[in-house]
Amino acid sequence: MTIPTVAEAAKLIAAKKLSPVELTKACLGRVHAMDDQLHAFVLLTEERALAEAKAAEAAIMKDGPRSPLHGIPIGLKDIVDTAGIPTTCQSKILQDNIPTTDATCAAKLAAAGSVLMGKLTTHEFADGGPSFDLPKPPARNPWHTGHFTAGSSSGTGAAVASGMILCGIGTDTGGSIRGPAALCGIAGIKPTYGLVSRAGVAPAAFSLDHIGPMAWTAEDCAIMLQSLAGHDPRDPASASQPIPDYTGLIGAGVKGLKIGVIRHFHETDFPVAAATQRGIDDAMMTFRDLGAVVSDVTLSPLQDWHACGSLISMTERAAAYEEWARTRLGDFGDRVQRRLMLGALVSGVDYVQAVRRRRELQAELKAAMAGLDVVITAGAPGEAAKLDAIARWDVFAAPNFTIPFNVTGSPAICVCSGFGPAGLPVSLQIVGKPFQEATVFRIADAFEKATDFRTKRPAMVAA
Amino acid sequence: MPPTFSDEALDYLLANAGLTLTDVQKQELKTLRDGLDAMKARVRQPRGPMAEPAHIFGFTAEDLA
Repeated sequence: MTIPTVAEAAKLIAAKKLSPVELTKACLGRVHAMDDQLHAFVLLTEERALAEAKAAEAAIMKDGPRSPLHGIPIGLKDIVDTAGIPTTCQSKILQDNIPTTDATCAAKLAAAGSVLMGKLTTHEFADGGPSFDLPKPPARNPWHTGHFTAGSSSGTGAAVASGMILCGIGTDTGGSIRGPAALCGIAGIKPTYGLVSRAGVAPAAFSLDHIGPMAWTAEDCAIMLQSLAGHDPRDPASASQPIPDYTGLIGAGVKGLKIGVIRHFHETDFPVAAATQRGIDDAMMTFRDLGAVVSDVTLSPLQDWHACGSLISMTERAAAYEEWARTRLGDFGDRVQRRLMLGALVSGVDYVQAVRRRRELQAELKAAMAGLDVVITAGAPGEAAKLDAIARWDVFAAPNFTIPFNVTGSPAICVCSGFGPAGLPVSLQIVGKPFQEATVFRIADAFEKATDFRTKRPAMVAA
Repeated sequence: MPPTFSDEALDYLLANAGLTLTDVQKQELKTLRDGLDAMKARVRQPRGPMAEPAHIFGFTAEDLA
């Protein structure tokens, strides 16, 4: 079976031309064939998946699908609570943790009828980097298993790219959805802050944490977000916005839309690799050809956004995990120990100055986007690095292209914009105004359909 | 030579945070001062005392129920 998108599978399932059981078995077959190399799963829930697929099939045959996710195999990052199923956060500290209730996002996907394939690997507590001192090995990139997936939603990135699941949940504090989407050649959106409930998901940094979809296409992310979005009183930051039809503008094209390019982010503040630059330049030509109006946008230097987000992140993280850091620091992996240690060096005044800077940067982006529909920059500096080449203190190694939009809380998606000299994907990032996800999906979808990058899967999948 | 923390200053900060580190970890932390200072400088602007932070307190519907 070729790997369908969620949109394709949903249509076939609704027409009773595709069996959720057969679809789930095909995904399980790919897990058994590839996961000993990719390490995307922390826990495969095979029996449960087959039972859920059979139940979905029976219900669909009787009453039709209750959502486009009914019968679709998915995975959850292993910081998402799942009732009765271990949620370890890839940490020695939570090896015996079996939650009694689902995270809101898990409950919503279950209510939509999705089929849970299992829990997907992550950096420890969604932090740090690829580590070999954790309970399970780090995920590997399906395009080249010697290379990094990015993180922290590393398992979701690898599992979607290799077709082991059709879509999955990631979380994003500084780029943990968009980074793996970029390096694994898939689509991943960090929705507007507060749109998807964080309840039941282990925190990384409270005011920067976002939950969101990762899938092969922007359209699939839109389908998934439809089931995830909505107010939740369990999350004190949950938004109370009306939920639009996120797929309503899919296929509408970009004619007349206004796109700003934050060229200095990826050309001068931190110049990206040639393949990434070419991908962005080609994308701008594509958007112009499709009828969009493209102009340059200037913001504060990327390093300002990175500093603001990083100081907030390291402080909030240190606060969240202070109790365990004080009593069980050695039980964290080496990389997370380092991150937690950093919190000791940031004062309360430093933190508040960062939060004041955050307000200024939010206002700056809002002003720059007046008259624009989206802004665009790189999603990652280039192709995925080798797994053993990730800096131990990567927060100081280079500014990050994704964290500016955690600082502002804006919706931002990464999509594949081509391939580099090593054959690994490169990406671009499309950023919308708050709660304008439908426009972000519209533009990302138009780009995916105008290019042929969605026709190519990693070689190991074809093999 | 980059600026660094004195042993006494670092010990105070770590004790305040309740962290017990090895000597190797302490030495490594001391090398990060440059990077941290650069970040701290970037978030400080001539903004005066009235500039509000991004995080503000507000009542939600649940609070008022």
